[in-house]
Amino acid sequence: MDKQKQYATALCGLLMATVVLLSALGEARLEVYVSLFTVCYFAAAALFQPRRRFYDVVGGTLLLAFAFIVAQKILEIIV
Amino acid sequence: MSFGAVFAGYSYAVLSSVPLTALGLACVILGSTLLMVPGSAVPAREVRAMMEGCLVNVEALLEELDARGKAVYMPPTDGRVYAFVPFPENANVGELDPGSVPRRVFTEAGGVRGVTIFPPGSEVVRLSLLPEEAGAEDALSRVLVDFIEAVESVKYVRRGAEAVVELSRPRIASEQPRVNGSLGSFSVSVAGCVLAYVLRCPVHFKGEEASGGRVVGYFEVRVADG
Repeated sequence: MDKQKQYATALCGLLMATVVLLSALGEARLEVYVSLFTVCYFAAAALFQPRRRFYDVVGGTLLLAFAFIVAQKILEIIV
Repeated sequence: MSFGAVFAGYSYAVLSSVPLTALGLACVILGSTLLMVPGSAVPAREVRAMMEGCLVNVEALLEELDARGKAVYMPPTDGRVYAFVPFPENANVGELDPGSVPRRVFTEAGGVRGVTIFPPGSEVVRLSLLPEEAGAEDALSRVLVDFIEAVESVKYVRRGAEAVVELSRPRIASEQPRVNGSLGSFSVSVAGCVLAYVLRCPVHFKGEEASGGRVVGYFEVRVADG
């Protein structure tokens, strides 16, 4: 199996494992899922270093979503 | 990806189920990632066609000049590794000083006449932007596995002057007898270029063995005395 396929398989496994584990734990906050998806995505990308056709749009979007969630939580604590 | 988006929207708005929404989002992430990642990082057929085209020229040159010796991969003096192929088949190449070997087609090195060529691996190594301080096995893996994806994995063993490189499942095979005999098959030739680049000394190709999806390349590292 080449590296690209390994990456896709690993990412699929990580994302599905996250959904199954968090839902089994009864997690009902969407931001927790998104945060863990972000971690899984970047962990898989760092491990397999896949080549991309163009800029990593998914990574950028996930990072923005993660930053938004963190900012929201900080604001909740401050205000 | 589209299914994931619709599924996430429906689960969030109608079913109000967070796990199902998350499942939809996971499908969106996976789908868009697969869209961005090419199926095969290096288009094997196209690369093979280009390499074969390149090797045909080298084959023609070696055949025309009747060069039969085993190549000595020279460390780069201006960023490019080059190979010195002696004319006689069993040439005993003496001590080599890479800086003093004239860079022209017909040349003489270590008291033996031969031909200087730039194998395809020369440019591969240059373009892979290997760091100067890279270790041999790390550099081999980086170039052959990560950069051109020519093999699945690399093992490197050094016993004194002898260097052995084991390549598993080579994906690009060259069918040029002279090139294979003098420089080694494509992957082994690239390995020779990488070794000359990272070890900074001439590397003499001694031969290769192929068996069961593995190719083992044998090299002699010509470390200058003193």
